[in-house]
Amino acid sequence: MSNDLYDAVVAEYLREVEQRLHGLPVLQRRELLGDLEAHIATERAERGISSETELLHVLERLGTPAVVAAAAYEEAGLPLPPVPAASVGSASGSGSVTFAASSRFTGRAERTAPIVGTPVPAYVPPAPAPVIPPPDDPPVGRRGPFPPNGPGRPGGFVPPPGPRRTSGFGPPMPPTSGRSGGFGPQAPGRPGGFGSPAGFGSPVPGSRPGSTAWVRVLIAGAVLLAAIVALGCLAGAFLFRGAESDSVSPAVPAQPIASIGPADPPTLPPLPTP
Amino acid sequence: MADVAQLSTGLRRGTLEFCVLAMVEHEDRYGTEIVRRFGDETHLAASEGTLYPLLSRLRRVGWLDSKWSESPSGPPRRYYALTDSGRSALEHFRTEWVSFRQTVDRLVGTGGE
Repeated sequence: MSNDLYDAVVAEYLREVEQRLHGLPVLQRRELLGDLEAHIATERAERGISSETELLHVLERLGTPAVVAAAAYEEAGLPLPPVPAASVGSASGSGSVTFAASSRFTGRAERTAPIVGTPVPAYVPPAPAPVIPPPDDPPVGRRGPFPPNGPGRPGGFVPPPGPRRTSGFGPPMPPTSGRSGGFGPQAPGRPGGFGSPAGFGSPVPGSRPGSTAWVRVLIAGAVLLAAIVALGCLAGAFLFRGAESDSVSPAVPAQPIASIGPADPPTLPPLPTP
Repeated sequence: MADVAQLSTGLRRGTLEFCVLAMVEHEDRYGTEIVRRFGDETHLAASEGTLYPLLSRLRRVGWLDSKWSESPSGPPRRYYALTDSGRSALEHFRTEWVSFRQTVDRLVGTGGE
């Protein structure tokens, strides 16, 4: 008998037992399943089980899963819960749904539970909360950093009535992650939430906050310097004209233009320093 | 009849556990060893697997102690040992059982007289 066949047969037996132990405390359930598994392994090693028939004989001496489970409930002082017919036995087909077992027993078992028409087991492993994609236009009152209420989950935070706000709480996030919202699981690019609208007043991705101010200071300084220089030039021109008009006397006869050359420059007053 | 069918179960209830305590009174034994022993007694245990919940309960009430130990020829074994409270309970049962058995024998007429 191969190890795979051995493991399959033993796992099937233990699964059948476990399916009937859902009403037991978890530690007692684990203890019993561990004892049974150790018993089977010990029998295999010490009695040299080499065939499937011998293994089935060991399991037969252990007792049917129903008998073992009934003894477990009796020793625990708990009433024997009704066992749904759809959850007992191998693949029962329609009428049952199979889901991943949260069992602590080696994680290899699968648990089946009825859909309708059978009693609800006492212990049902908590199913993970369904992840529902958020709507494109979330309702008013679900904006903000608070997680949205799940289906059937009452209560939760509802902001007071007032003007519909387009931004929520918290610091704005750089639009690098593709999402501008701030609450709950959101799909990328979901509109709404906190943060300023993209491209308006938001810092450029990758820019530092102080770089813009430095540029502005430099530009303003350059403009101011240019204005001062221009004013200085204008003042110099006015002074130059005034000095020139003062130096030209009406009594002096006019000379031909040609006589005025660069070899005889007029004496100019010193320019005021700006 | 249902009452007759439940006779063995009713008789086992309350007595089998002390038989288990007596088995580990002088020597620690591992689970499979205990189960095999009672599996041979057809009038005591319905099936071997039903003894493990019983061992679990005796451990929870403090009459048995258990510990895992390596085995020279197989997987680790879970050894059971009688505790002091379990020993006291076993002695009390022996006293009560003798009186109980004598009373029943006298009333039912099974005393062999």
